[in-house]
Amino acid sequence: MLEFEKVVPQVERMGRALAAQNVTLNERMDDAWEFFKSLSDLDAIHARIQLARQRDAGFRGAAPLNEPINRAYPLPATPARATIIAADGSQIYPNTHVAALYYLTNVGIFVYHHGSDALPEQVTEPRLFYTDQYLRDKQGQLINNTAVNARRTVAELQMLARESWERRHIDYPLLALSDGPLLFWVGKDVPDGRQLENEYLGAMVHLHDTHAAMQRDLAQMASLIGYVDRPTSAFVVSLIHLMRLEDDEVRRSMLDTNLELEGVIDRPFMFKLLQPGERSALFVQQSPQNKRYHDKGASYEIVFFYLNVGSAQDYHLARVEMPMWVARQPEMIDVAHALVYDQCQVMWRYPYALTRADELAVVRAHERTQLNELIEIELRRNEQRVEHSEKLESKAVRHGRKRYAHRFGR
Amino acid sequence: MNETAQQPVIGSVLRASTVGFVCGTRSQEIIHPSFGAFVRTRHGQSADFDVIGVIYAISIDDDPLVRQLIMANNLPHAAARDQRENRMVPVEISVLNVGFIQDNVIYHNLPPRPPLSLDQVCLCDQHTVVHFTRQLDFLRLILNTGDVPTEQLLAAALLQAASARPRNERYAFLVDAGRRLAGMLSHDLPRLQHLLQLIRPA
Repeated sequence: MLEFEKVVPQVERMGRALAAQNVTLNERMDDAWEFFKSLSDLDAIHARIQLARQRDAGFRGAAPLNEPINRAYPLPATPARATIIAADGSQIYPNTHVAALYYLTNVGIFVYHHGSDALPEQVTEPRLFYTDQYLRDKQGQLINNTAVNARRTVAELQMLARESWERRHIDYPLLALSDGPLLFWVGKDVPDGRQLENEYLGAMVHLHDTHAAMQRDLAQMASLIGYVDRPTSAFVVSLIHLMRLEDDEVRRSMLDTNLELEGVIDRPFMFKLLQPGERSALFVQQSPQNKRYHDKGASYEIVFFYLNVGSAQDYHLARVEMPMWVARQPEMIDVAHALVYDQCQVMWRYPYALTRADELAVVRAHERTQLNELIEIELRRNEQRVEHSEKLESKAVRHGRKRYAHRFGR
Repeated sequence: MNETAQQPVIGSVLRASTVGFVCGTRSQEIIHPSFGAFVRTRHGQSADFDVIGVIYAISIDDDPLVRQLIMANNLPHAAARDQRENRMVPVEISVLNVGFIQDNVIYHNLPPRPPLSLDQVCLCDQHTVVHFTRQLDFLRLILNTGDVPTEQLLAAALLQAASARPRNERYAFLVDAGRRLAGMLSHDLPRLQHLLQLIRPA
């Protein structure tokens, strides 16, 4: 129970503190914006980033690929036809308070035939994991939720790759849409983390194969996009910070934070730069994870641009990520740019295909309850003892769960 | 009265009581049901009777995704088809029970038990409608029901029952129904007048 009379004064203090913080940040931002607008020399920027690399200064900002960074790139023409395949996933985490230990991943795929009246396709793939091989690590400990998330992410990209490959014969551009960043790495708390990372990269290679096959057979293209809604990244701000330093200041201690720009994110800069439909320049995020992707193959390094998917009255920013094999072909950039923006207009600021993939994937609370009941029935059928934890039982009572509460006509 | 197999299925029972039931269907399948239409449940093997009812409301539930699509105001036909044909957004059809059929005999009373969840619901064929409405006892059942638009429902049901009859019998049927209503609503002349206006033969 939340006692609002105790929270309200804290909320009021929070509002005042954030407003004061924003005033200070806005003043700093105005200076930085003026500086950003003057950054037109790509060679100078690349030289400075190279200097940071040589000094191992730990620069984690954005490196421009091959376009001037202080200008916007207009919305290209939308292709007449295209196949858009979106993937998303959800999960049920292992729960020691239910009758049996298991976890479930559910991946939803939504196929939208852009420019056609054809009925979109939908595919779901639920997978139930219940053996120790999947549930426990090498020390016999129950895996954590991060491990489930990592496996689900790999399953999403694998299914996206599989469904894209199956549609490689369609003679239109293909856009594979994934929800969230494309860079994937796991911590040490995830069992077989390195294997998962390799499987993820394998799925990316599979998508690249789809592109190669479509190019060879149809002179068409297949792109992979990671869509990040309302990004809070500060990659461009970090670049501005780097460029404002003197040469002799380019060292790790100066790049640990963005100093007076610390706390400022890219979004307000991009709102100043980009009109609805426009994208930013292409950037490569400088990070050890992305370097590992690059080291696996130059085609797999992750590149991104910002895109204003909002309207004149209501700006909305997305970060659109793609592998280098997409980024180095301008026509593929244009197709991705136009289609992502078009999808966002169907759904008012978010890609329609991703919304539907999410809807297909999500496991709702009542479905989780039904699955638990199914498992209990199956256990009983197999003469297994079914026990619930006291914690779960008391929760059900406290929350007043009503399973069959309905009446005629509502 | 066994022609129901040919009649279009309009949905399946979602929830029910002896007074009425709600059946659900997908939004692209609401071509057939209409307000005031007579429907019957097609019972499973365990039930020994079919419930006869009259549709008194057809509603489509609120849906956050549809709201957003409306806000965007830029809906391609493929997305509209997706919403109507792929998504599990049920249309709810509310039905008032007015009788039941057991062993091919029609009863103008509430059924002894409600239909079961997922029982199929189909429109009554013309023969059943004519047969059921030979007696007009169901009029009182509708008149005495709250929470439904009584006059509109009675008028729609009577007009549907009239149109199920041969053209030369329709006038007499409606006049007879008007007389019955006059007997039932003698204490409420404005309501009676409104109802008679609604069912006045063309």
